Amino acid sequence: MEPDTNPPNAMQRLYANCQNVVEEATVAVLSKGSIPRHIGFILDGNRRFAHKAGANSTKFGHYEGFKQLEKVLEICMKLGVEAVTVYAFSIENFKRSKTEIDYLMELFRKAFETFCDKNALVAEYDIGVRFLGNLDYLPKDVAEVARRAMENTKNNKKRIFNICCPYTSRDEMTTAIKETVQLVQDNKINLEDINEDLIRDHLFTSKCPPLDVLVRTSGEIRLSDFLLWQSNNGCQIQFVDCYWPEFSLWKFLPILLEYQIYHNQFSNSS
Amino acid sequence: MATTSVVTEQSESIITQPSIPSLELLSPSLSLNSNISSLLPDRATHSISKKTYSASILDGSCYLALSAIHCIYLACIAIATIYIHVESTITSLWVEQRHSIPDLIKHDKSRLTKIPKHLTIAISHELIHERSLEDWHAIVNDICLASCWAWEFGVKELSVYDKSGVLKSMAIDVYKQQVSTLHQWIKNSTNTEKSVHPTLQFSIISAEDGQPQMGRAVQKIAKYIKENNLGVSDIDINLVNQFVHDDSCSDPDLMLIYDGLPHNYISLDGYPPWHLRLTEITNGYTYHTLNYPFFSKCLYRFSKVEQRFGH
Repeated sequence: MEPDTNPPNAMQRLYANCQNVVEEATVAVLSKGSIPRHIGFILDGNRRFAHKAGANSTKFGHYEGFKQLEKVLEICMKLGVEAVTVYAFSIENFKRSKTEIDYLMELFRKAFETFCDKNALVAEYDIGVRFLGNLDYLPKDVAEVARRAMENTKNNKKRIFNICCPYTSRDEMTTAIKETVQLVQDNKINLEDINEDLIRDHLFTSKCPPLDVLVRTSGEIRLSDFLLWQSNNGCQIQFVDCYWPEFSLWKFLPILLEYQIYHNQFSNSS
Repeated sequence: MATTSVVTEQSESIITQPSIPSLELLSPSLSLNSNISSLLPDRATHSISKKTYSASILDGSCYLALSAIHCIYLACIAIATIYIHVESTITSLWVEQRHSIPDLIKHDKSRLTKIPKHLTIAISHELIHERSLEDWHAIVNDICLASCWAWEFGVKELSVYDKSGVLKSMAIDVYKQQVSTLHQWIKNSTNTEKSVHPTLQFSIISAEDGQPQMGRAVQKIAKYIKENNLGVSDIDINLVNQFVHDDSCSDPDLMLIYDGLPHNYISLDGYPPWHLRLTEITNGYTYHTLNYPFFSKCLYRFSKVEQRFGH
């Protein structure tokens, strides 16, 4: 991965510090209003960002995307968001080129390792890292790091960070359905007791607060098999017209404002 | 590792800045919802006892600043909504004065590279309490007209979703009106594909077709497994897909949501979740009638082609 090329000069440091102050002030002001308990992100547009930036490979986009994820996760933690769920890798993405998948797996392995030991953000906010999806589809070493990260943070209960990798919503719903049908087969419940609440309680996110906001970057206006059940009712789905590495606090701001202004207007019951 | 050092660097810069400590006092500890604030009692009481007069003024001005920001944001939404309505009225007047809608459709259809096979129209649940019977009749008229436009474009299936079920309760009248409106349109149409594509599949769905329908599908799956001596491991995505689509419409390609409050977000209001895997969703909340410019705008967006008016 590419390190920073030049050390920042005094002017750049001053600008960065001013930016920090303004961001801190914005977060402090926003926190006075209601904050969504659970936000989902579809991290789309890394490859197009790389193309737009003129990079000769998509690796630049994925790396910038990962850096942006850390920044956005920190903003969410500062605001008081309890759970953040991100769509890191779809089961459909296995159809991409081998070089890209290999790079992504390598990026994931390094990224998941940062969650394993002594991550400042994880420690400060007591974040439990969870991987949603069938880890057996991943290369063994990546799956092993993922399991270790989950094990090391399993006692962190205050905040949750869900990484969906590899995941599709239909796969999740099918798994929930299988568990429900298994309960009937084991005679723990009757066939007539099966309803939609049972499905909801067996989804990967059953222990998280209900999804309040779902954000998709890069301007695409579909869900692409992500959190279809969780975003179905009482969730504000925002399609943002910028690539994921460009998703800053300022792009996040209108989303949070709309949540604060509108979320109390409608109750879920019809 | 480069990535973790970015995080620690930022937290260090916060502590060394002399002007920041008052903002630290205002950090989210006091205003979080019940789950988190109950886990941070010590920090909360410590903050309260430390609050000085200037800190309370700062706190109050933060609340004021937030309310001001909300007002500004609502003003922006209002301006954007007015702009959309003015633009839409002007274009519909200008365009419809020169051309009939069938001609417009012919022109637009030639420019679109893909047409949705299944188009679904969702009526937002937000204004349910504000709608009178006349409003519902207007919606039914809009939908019948939209079914004609959809047929003309070559859409094979049209479904209408209304969470509350009011439309479903009027289903018989709606179906009658829709069939006769479309029949009349097809008779007058000069569309060359008339014989190949004689009609449009039309259905009305409501909240009971959403998650509750999935519950019923799972019951059927459990029964099927039992009756055919299969195991839970025989359940896969394809099997579930089969049962979910057993008594319901196909997966929509494009969804239009309209008649709600103006905001950038969309809310699915309980639309059948399994069906929305790849559906493109357009935000038409600020539109209270389904007019042709809005309808064609959605189709252009789906086709990813730039819309141009006139020839």
